Amino acid sequence: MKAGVTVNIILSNRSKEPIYVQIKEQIKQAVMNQTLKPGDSLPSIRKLAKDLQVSVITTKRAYEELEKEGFIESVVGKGSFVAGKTDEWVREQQLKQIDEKLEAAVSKGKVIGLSLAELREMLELIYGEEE
Amino acid sequence: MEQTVSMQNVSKHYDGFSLKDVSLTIPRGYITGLVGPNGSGKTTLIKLIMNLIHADSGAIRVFGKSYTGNEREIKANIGFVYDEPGFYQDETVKGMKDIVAPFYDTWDERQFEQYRERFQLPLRKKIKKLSKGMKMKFSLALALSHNADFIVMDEPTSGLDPIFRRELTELLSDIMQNENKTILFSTHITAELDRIADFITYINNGEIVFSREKDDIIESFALVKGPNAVLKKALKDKLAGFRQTEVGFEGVTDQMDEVEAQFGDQLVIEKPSMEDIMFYYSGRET
Repeated sequence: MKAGVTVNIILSNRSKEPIYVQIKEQIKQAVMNQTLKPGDSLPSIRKLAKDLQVSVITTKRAYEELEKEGFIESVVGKGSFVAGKTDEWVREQQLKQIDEKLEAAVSKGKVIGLSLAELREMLELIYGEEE
Repeated sequence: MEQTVSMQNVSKHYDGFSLKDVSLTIPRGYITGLVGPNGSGKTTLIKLIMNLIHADSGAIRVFGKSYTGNEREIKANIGFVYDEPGFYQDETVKGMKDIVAPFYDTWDERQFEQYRERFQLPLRKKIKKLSKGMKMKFSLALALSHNADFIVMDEPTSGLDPIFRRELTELLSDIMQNENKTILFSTHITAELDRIADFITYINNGEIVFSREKDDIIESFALVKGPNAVLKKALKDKLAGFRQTEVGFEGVTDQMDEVEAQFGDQLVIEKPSMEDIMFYYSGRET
């Protein structure tokens, strides 16, 4: 990790999700909310296994899947890093969230009979307030 | 994957007990847990790997070599921790260390001193005055102080309190920071294995029941519980073993998906512990 960059990984034994999935999802989450940024280094597979007191194979599998999905890159002898193109992914995910929220707002608006013009007016008003 | 140990079709017969046609590998860089009930053959298997007893048939290689002609070299690179160390009872801790150390060219006095301090071993105390746990810690300190690449531990946690058992798993993951090290340990207390073991070899009645990645095992079994009315033949056939009482049953299955699809709404299905799997597997009638 870069100085000051830490990611919390909290494992649950009660969860139905295998431990490696829990590790993977939490690292993804950290990338998503930008706690981890492109280029940040991750703890080594063995160090993470020790810290979490899980098997080396478990952390290895989590990293392998993150690598396959393009979230991290591993450099032999140097370790694993958050991949550069995660920026794109994060943006995409955020756009998707905005999309969903707008969709919900629109359908709620339709229920009470708001027109597009009225909705637009509301949006402009909110957007203006935020600035 | 490189193998620290490979055994092929190894058999060993005693009166009343035999190890039957065992083939298995212990990969380098990982922790392998050897589990099984008392008398299942764990110690026999370890003694064979340590060349303390000889197989009736089959081949055993350690670090890729057979013991013939390589015994000294192989043993120098193994740290052996065992239940009842053959210590000279009237010797002090320091005296015993001074006897053991010269056997190893790679003896690391500083390392020993670090472990001695960490385990709070009293140098001047006689071996016979040490508690069981202390003896185990002493055995560990000796085994870990000559830079061995392969640490073999026979029941290292028996006689140790839960706090030190936790410390031990922490210690083992310290060792595993170096990917050239290999750890094999036998135990019937599986809580430690649930945590840090990479591979599990399960032995019962002198036979290997399975030898696989721990995560694979945990994922391919499920603990199922439910009312007795559900426990009909169709379900029984899918259970590796079960325990039934007046108020319901509990069992382990390796056909999770089918059980869930057919009976899922009537059962509680949970992630099993190694102990659950061991318990229901050993009770299986074949």
